Amino acid sequence: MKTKALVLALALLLTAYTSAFAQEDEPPRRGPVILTDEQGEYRLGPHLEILEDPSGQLTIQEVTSPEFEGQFTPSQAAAPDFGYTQSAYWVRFDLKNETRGTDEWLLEVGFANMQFVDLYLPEPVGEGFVVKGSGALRPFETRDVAQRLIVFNLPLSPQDEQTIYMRFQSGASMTLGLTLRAPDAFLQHIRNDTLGLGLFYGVLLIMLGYHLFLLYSLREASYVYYVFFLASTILLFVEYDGLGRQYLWPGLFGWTKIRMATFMALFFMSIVKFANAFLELKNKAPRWHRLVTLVLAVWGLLIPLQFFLSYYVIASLYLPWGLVSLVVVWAAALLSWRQGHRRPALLFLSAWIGVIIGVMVLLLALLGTLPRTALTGEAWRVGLVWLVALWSLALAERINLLRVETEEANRELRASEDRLSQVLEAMPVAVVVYGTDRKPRLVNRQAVELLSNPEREMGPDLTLSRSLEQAAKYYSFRVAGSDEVYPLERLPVERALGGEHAAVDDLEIDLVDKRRFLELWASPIFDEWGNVHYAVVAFRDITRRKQAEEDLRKQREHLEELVAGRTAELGEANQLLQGEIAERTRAEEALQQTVTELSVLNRIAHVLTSVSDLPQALDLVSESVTHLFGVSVTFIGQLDAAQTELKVLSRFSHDCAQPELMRLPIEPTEEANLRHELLRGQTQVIQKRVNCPFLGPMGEHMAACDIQTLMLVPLRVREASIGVLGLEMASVERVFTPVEISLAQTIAASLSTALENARLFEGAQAAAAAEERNRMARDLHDSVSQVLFSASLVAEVLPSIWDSDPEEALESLEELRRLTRGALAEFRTMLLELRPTAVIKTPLGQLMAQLTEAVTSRTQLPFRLHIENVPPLPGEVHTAFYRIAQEALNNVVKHAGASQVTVRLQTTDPVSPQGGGDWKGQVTLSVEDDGQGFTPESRQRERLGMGIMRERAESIGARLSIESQVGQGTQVRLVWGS
Amino acid sequence: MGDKRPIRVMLVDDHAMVRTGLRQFLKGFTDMELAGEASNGAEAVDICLQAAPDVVLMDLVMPDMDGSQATRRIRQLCPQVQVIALTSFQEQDMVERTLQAGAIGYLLKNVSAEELAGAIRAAHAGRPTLSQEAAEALVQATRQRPELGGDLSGREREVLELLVEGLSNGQIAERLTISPATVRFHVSSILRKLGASSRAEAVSLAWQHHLVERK
Repeated sequence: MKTKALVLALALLLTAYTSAFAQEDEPPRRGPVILTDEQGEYRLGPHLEILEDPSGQLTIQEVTSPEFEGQFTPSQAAAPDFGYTQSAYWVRFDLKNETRGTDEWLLEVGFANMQFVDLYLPEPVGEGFVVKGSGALRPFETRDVAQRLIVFNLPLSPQDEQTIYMRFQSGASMTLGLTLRAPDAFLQHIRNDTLGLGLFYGVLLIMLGYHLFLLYSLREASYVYYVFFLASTILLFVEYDGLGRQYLWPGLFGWTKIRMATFMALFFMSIVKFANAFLELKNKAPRWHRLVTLVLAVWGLLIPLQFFLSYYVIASLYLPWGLVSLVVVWAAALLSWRQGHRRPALLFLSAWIGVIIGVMVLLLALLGTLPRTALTGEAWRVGLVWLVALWSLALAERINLLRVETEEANRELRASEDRLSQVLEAMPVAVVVYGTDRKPRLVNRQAVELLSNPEREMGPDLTLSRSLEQAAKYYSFRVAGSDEVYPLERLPVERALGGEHAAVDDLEIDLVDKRRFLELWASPIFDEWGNVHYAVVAFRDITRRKQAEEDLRKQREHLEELVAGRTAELGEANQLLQGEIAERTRAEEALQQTVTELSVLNRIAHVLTSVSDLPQALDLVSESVTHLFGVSVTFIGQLDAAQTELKVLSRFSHDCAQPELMRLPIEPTEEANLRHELLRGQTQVIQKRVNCPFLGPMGEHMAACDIQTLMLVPLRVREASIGVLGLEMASVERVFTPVEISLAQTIAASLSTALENARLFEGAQAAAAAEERNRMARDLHDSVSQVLFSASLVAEVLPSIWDSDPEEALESLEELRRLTRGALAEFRTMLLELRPTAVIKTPLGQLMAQLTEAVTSRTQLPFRLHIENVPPLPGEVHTAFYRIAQEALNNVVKHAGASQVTVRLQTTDPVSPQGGGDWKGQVTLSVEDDGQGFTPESRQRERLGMGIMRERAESIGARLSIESQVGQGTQVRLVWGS
Repeated sequence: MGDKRPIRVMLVDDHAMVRTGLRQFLKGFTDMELAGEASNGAEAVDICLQAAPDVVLMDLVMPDMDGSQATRRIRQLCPQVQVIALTSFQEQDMVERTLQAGAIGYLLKNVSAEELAGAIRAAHAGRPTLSQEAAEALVQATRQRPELGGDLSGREREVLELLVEGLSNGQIAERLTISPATVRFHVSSILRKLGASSRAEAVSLAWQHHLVERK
């Protein structure tokens, strides 16, 4: 049908062209066709007279009537072609038989698919015609000649002449190629035709059969479509050539149109499908594949349409779409060629060349360029065979190519498999690869070793045919440490084959005389489509580890037992410890108490040694003791010389406000025992209810505060009691513990020391003072004697001076007088030193004058005196003034380097010498010199002296100021008073 | 004593009264005159250098350098000046110290004018004068002074004699038939007792103080 389409397409374009050539070929001529012996075959085309009958209703009678006679037009071509037309066509031609003996002629209608053909032979006798019908759509049995082609017997006697009428009607194309042949010629023709057809279909059928075999053995998709193509080609041409009608389905003439249309569709579809498969468009050019699928889809729609539309319409749909299909196929092939698949595409395309050439030859024959022979007319069949052959070749090529590729792929696969094997062999773990059929593909050396027990002839199946399940039974897979069979679905291999990664370490296998524990890891291997292809399982022997774990577990159990036992022991021990801790806490508390006591003791001792004011220190001690012991009253008393009375030096009470008690007599008569004991140094603890009520003043004193218990600790110094430390308690329940008594005694010792020190200090002070005075006295004594010595010298020489120079002698006498006066002053001062009480008795002004004279006489320092009438001052003040003046004057004489000294004694409120009463004034003593003043060095040197002056001043409550500037003299001021 | 120039006398005493008296005393003699006065030792040294006296009457107990120190200084600086100590103290060590310092006379502050004048003249002539008490103290001191070398043992004396002869330890050992170690022991004990720091000094001391017989 393809050729038909091609023919149609080209014919349509070249109608004019053709007609021109056709005219050239055989010019139309009227007149009968002369049949001679020489010519066996007559083409009637140019001799025809044609009448178109659009309605198709004309009868022979009408046609032969004179009115229609003139409407027959002579044919213009050798094979007039009127394309697809619904009209009927009447044809008329004259035949004149000028042969000698041929009287039976055969008329062939060139187009086997002409649907309705009627031959009208004139009646031998009379008017009218004999009708012979034929056509593709008429039952085959009605054919005049049982032939695929439409052939009529045409009897025409020699020398006869007849006019023959024919009527053609066809839903297909209207091609009027009539040929008249003599029987011999016809036979020849038939033979050629049959031969040709035989060859053609022979090749096709052989190809079909051959490729069916190939299809069966190679199972290639392309072969399916190729076979499909061959089959549909055969069917189509069988139908087109009319062979089907003749041999295959003569009775199914009604199906002709359906058959035709369907076979045509199938033909095109098969081409497309084959091209699609052959060129591998799905993989290599998906877009074309889609296009192709679309084309096929349209064909799919077109096929059922034939039941709803006329053949004419169908034909006009099918043919263009067939053309489109071909174009798509060629384009795809070209693309494939361009993509690089040269050989297959090339073969595919070059196959068509044969067809094209065949068709071109046909066209050229039709056009007249080439002679019209059976060969040229059927050249297109050769082309088709060429196509079939080349496609077969192409297929074979492809198969070969595929085979080569496959081989290479296999080689590579083997190589990579080889590498994989090496990798697996090299791995330190056992590896087995399982396929989805649960059979192993690969077992590496380690696996073999691990799973073998040669002595017992156990080992893995190296033919790789033992399935997983069988292996599980063979090795008695068990859950480690139990007799439970290992469930297959838990095996990592199974799970990996299901697509998950799995690992277990509780698999136990049995190797007859040994059991191995295995740790397995399995992973799936996926193919390119994401399906599980293999499962790889790696495993190793962990028997040792298991053993170790087991041992560990046992040890741990044992340990736990021990621990439990030990814990119980510890619990008991803990209990004991708790008890001990409680005790210890108590001991600590006691210790803490002791520490507190010691710290108080320490403080008391510190206070007693550091505080210079004894009364203050004693008060502090009393307070501390009261708080420390928690008693009501603490007092410290000093025994007087007669040891009959306690002078209370200090008392502290925080809850007992008694009237101040200064003295506490210890009567020998009433408390004889007490006193005796105290004097002996024994601490006394007296309890009211036990020792009978206190008596005497002490008793009164105790009763005032409801004192219940009294502790008296004697203060001892060198085996003699000098005082008492007393603690009074108002509480009835409490008694003095031995610890407290001991503590009190310790405090008492400190107190004794303190009191003694105070006493000694006073004594020392007094001694120091006395020492100082003695020294001074000696000093004076010495100076007095020296002065007298001087005086004696002067006296001795006086007479001789008098002799030589009376004036000078007078001077000397004056000097003598001064000397003696000075001596006298010093002497008096000396006397004062020797009798300290005289100091107080001498009025202060007189003292000052005497002192000044005495001191300055040594250095003959000029002095000035300003003495005012000061009232009598208290003894200590008087003495202090004297001593300070003495020290100041001594300093002036010794260090000042002065030329003058001024001594002032002034008062703000001068009063009569009697004085008395409440005198509220101030007395000021000032000693001024104009010497060099105090340099820092001299200040340092005289620190002691100045210190003594200050002490004296302080002791009388006076203010001492020493002002001095270097080079400008010194002033010592003492101010006393309110 | 045929010096026509009056003897220049300097007075050093911290007691002004005493100086006054002495001043007057000097006036009573024509062959003496006042050269200068000082009230302490340092002053005395300074004025001595300035005034160039012949004789200094030095009190001993003074502030800022006492009499014996001042005496020593004056005797160093002006050797031609004679110093007489005039003091109230008669302690043995004071006498010793003052005389060792270079004083030529030691008098107490109970002398008569005539005695004092005589002492000044004698001092100027370079003759010492000691008061009775001072002389007694000196005799006592000398008696008490430990004789250097008195505590040497017999053996030590023998060794010392040989040392003085100039023998070495080895030779001494040979001579005395004792070991050299023993000799060394004796020698160090000799040095200690004599207060010498070397053999040479010991020899010199021995010679000076006649610890060995001169042969």
